[in-house]
Amino acid sequence: MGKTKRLIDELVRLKAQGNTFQELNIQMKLMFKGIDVKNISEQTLDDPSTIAKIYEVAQAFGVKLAC
Amino acid sequence: MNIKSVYSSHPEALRAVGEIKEQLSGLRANFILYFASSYYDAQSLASSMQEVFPEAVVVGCSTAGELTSGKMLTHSLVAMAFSEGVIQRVEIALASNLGKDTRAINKAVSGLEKALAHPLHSLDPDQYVGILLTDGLSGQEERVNDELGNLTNITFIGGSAGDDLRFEKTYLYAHGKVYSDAALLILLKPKAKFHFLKTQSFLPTDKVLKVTKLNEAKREILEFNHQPATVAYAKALGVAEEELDEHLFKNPLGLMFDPQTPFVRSPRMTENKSVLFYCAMKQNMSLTLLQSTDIIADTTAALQKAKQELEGISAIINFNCILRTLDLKGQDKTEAYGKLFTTIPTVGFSTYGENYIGFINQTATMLLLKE
Repeated sequence: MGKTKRLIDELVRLKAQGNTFQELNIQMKLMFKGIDVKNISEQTLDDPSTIAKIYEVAQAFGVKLAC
Repeated sequence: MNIKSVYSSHPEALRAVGEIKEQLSGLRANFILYFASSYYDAQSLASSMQEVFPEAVVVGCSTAGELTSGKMLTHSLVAMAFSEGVIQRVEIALASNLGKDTRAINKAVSGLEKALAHPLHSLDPDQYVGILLTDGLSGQEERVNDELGNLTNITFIGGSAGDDLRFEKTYLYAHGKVYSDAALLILLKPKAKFHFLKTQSFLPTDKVLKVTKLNEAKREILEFNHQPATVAYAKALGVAEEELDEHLFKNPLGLMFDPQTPFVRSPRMTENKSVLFYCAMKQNMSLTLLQSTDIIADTTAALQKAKQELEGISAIINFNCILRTLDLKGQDKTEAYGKLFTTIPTVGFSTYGENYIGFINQTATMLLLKE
């Protein structure tokens, strides 16, 4: 539990490079890709298919997730 | 003078271009953006626009209606000219053969990077902005927006070219040539700040439909909430299934980032218990049923808010969905909509879909340049 949320937060932070407006845009990009960032919290059960999708997106974004 | 918005409704391409040239005499433009009815001969229009402005980057596309300061037009040519004092740098790249070339966007982005001698992902998104024009009949807009969003943080805003509701062929214009099955990437470095305005006239309801079966390539939803799509949609609306088609226009669905900003997905029609949309969805996407509101009132409020935030707007580039235009026409409000843009130089067109972070419908996406 909570890994999905942590991965999303890291992905958004790395891609946005400190730009607050970009953080919102990137969250929206994830929603367009089918990752429901608005309804994923620390309490959300981790779904392997969502986690795999986040790693796929990270690769497409050109960012490397630490965890 | 640094920015000027002009138009011609002369039915012949060469005469219309001549009228545009005459109105822009005295402005030394480095960038000209134009939108034109598909009734003009596309090649004559593109080559003559480039010929009369040889020193400028001249780009545009065909439309389903045109917008200029104070007017919503049809069968016309509208243009906006910018001097170097407004747009410091402009680079363009064409992504061609969109339907077949899976690397078309990567190649176009590489072209921009070569021209800039800089990787696009390292450009400052507060300094650069992109305009994205796409073939409105290509069915590739979701992919184009998605791949661009992967490759850069630069915001691309724009619309899909139209063809006056004939649904035969749409055109992009660049460097005096005509392209279809393509996307045109226009990268700008404005001198002043810029701002994005996305406005849609819908309020969310408390009904949510989750995509549980779809054909993404066909933009078709087969099931919502594990029920046939038409059954679930009609149930959410509280209408009989056979009446659903009558309600689709006023009750599209929204991908909700927050209650104020739905990213609208517009249904086109029902077909054998499926609902066909103007844009694609993803499996398990949760979509909120929307209820239409007043376009004039909502756009007025959105523009007013933007004017206050920016403390003055020097230009508006408006990508206004054809479905909004049809709604305005049905209510005899196109004149009122045009008048919302009387005091600020404006150029735009009625699109076959809008670009802003992703591909959306029934929305106006606008690039605003600060004074």
